[in-house]
Amino acid sequence: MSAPARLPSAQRSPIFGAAVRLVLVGVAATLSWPGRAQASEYHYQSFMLGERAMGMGGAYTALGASPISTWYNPAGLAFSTGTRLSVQTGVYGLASERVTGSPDLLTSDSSQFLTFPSTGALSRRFGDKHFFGFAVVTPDVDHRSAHLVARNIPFTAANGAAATLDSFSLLQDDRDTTLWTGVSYAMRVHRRFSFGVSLFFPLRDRSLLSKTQATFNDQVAASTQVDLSSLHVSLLGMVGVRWEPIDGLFFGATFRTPNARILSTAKGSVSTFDADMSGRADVNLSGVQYKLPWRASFGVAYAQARRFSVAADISVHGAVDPYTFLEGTDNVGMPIEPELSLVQKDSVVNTNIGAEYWLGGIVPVRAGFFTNFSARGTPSARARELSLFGLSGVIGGQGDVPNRYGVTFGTGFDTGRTTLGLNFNYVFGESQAELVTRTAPRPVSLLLIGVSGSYAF
Amino acid sequence: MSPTRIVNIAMVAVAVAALWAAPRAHAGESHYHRYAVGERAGGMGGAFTALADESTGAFYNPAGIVDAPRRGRAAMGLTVSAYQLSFLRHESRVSLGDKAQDLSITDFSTFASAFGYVHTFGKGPKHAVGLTITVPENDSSAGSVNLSGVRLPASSATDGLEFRSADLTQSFRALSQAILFGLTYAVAPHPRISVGASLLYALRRERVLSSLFLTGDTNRGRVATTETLEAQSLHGALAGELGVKVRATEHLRFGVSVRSPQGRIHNGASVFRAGAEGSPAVFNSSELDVYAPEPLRLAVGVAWEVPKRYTLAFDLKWFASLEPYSPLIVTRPAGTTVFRATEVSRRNVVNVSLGGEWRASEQIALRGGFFTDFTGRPPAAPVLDGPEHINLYGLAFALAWLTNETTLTFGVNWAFGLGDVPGVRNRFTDQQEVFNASASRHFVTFFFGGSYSL
Repeated sequence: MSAPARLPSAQRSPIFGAAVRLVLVGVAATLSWPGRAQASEYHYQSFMLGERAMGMGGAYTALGASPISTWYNPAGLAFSTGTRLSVQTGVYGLASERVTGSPDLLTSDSSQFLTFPSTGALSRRFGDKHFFGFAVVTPDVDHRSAHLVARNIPFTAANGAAATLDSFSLLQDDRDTTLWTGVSYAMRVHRRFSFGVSLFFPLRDRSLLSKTQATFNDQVAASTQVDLSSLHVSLLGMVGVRWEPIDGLFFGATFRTPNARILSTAKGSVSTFDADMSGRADVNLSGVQYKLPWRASFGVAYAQARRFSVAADISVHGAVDPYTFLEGTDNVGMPIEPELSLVQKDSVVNTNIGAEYWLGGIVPVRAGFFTNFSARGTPSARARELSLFGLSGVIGGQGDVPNRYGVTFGTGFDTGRTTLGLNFNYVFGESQAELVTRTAPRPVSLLLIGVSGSYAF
Repeated sequence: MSPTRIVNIAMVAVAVAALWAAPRAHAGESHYHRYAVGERAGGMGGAFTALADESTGAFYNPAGIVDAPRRGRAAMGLTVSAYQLSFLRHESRVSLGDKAQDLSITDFSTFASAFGYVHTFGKGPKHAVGLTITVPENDSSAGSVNLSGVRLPASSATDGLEFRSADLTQSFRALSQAILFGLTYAVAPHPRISVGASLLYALRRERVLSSLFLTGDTNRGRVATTETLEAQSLHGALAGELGVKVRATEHLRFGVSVRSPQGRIHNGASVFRAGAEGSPAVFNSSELDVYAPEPLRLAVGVAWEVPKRYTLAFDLKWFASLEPYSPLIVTRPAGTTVFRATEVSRRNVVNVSLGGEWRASEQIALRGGFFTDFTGRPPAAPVLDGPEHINLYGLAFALAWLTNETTLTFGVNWAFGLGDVPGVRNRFTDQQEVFNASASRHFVTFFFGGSYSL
């Protein structure tokens, strides 16, 4: 099959059109590249938090009775003893993302070494029945730099002519950090039953620089640069119960509300370049929106103190109706095309399974497994159509729905009053990288090593 | 008249010059003491060579870990410099024609700064082995610059192109981080003397993404160009450290440690450049040579320690000079050098640290400190797009809660400095002038840490 002819310059305008369109395309490219094994709009448990919980794959809804229960199930606080400080401070990790496609689709190895603090939690008992908790946790973090290049891209122009782009490239630097601060209250209403409530303030700080560029006839035909910084603070609540019907057998259940935005700031600029118009378009952003769905978790656990434990959780995240991630107007005063920053989340069910065995009553050995399924919905026809110059295919995997799986392992010392833990968390999955009409396997992996400890005062 | 696009050598030169200037504003290459690493040391301004008695103490003096507090055989310390705010201002850093703009960056980052584990053994002389992971440097920046309505007369530098009104917009992200992994062995052959040695693996990673657009109306019509640069590098090196700690009297301590220059054992990088002409160029590790050496370090410390009452400590740290080197060289398979980054050299630097600790009660300790972080960059005549020259001064404060088996510390380090940076006026005109402009940096690092004695 002969290669399609290059597009005559006289026919460029229908394709490399107005700057407004490129603004939209740039925003779409920026937002549509899904995250790696960690921070992602569509994944809810990228890695596990807490010393014991991380080792047991996050199966902690029924089992938890420590300060990190503020995060998993506040009712578990009422089964903790006295005042305890738990810190999972040093988390060191290696995140890897590769695209190994044909010579026409390539990327550099974007492996990153991560170091970040993860968890700090405190619980305190007042009287026999009342417990308070406080937690600062980082449930998701992503610092990513990546580029994709597709070459010799055949396409059909708006006027029906066959043409070939020399290349299309996408470069990104994305820093996405979440920090949740929460307080809890729990009450032991019966020797075998407790309930608790938590109030969380999730903070998400994002700094994103993205550049897309298409070359044609050895010159840039169109290019868009998106620079975005945003801060989003919201509020959500959680209620939980924990029941021990017989000694050692625990059931737990929680319900977490959707979040409600209480603060949002954003600033950004979009610069465009094409054959007909060159210039900068400062996008007037009024804010950003990150919507978390409701979540219901159910857990069951059986534990023999300082001998062994087994636990399993199932959690359901609700669906989120389509909403616009970016709020503001574009360079000509029009609202930012809703379809291009559209986020839509399907409901998703995840499971966590963990086990723990004690050596000599002082050294716990833990292992776990968890799923991290994607909630990404199918993009609308309009979003796909606008994905890039009307070409078939999508940018950066807009149709990408990677499901991920995680395994954990942990060990440490537990003297009753003092604990030390060393945990490993490995997440893996594979999806398809897509850039214009090119696709290639995109394996992702994340290995985290967490160092933790707690102390009972 | 329909717009016309012209991309010529002059435009590319202007764009590439602007592309490099801003994101390379990080200070990491020439400073050694951005904040004090460690839980106790972090509150004492890093005056810890004569003490080094915590699980991350090997960072200061490997001989000190035999004195790490423990109930049984082991001590473990965790310290998180969790939240760092950094502020940078370079006067007239971005310039084009008759317009210039200061470069001002505020950035926030989180990272785990230190982890240490010490285990002791032996019934005669005390022996100890330790593992440390420290992050002595973390420099993150994100920013953008915009120049509008620039007038640039035709000159040889612009190949005769006269800008009547030009706009430059640039955004960048940069990260420079150093991570030290250390294995330490220490022994106390005499009750008053301990010696130790560390093997250090130093990992430095850097990341830059910079993108710009330059557009304008010129004597040849409307013109525009764009440039993008993405670079990532990883540099691994080995170093050794020897230390001695002497408990001269009941309260007087001396410490000396020598850390060798780093020897590179691996490097890798990728560079992506896309201009307005042609297809993007990708350079991989086989074509890139990354070099990020660290010099010899000699630390000498003295401390007066009255257990459970107060401690005073003082350190001098000398960092040797380094011969000029190029941090990045790009070659093609034929061996042709296509890019060589501007050479960097470092002069001798002596930093001081002064710290104190006061036990307000059995369980409460207050710590304070002062430290310097002088730049290793030699003062020189201003060179276009040359590096900054800022000497930093730091203050440390911490509050610690101590029990027999645990410690918990909250602290803050604040480093600040004024200096100069090459600024430029009337860039790309016949009146181009490079001068010493003012520059300032501030770092505020909040940290919390804890240790556990096993």
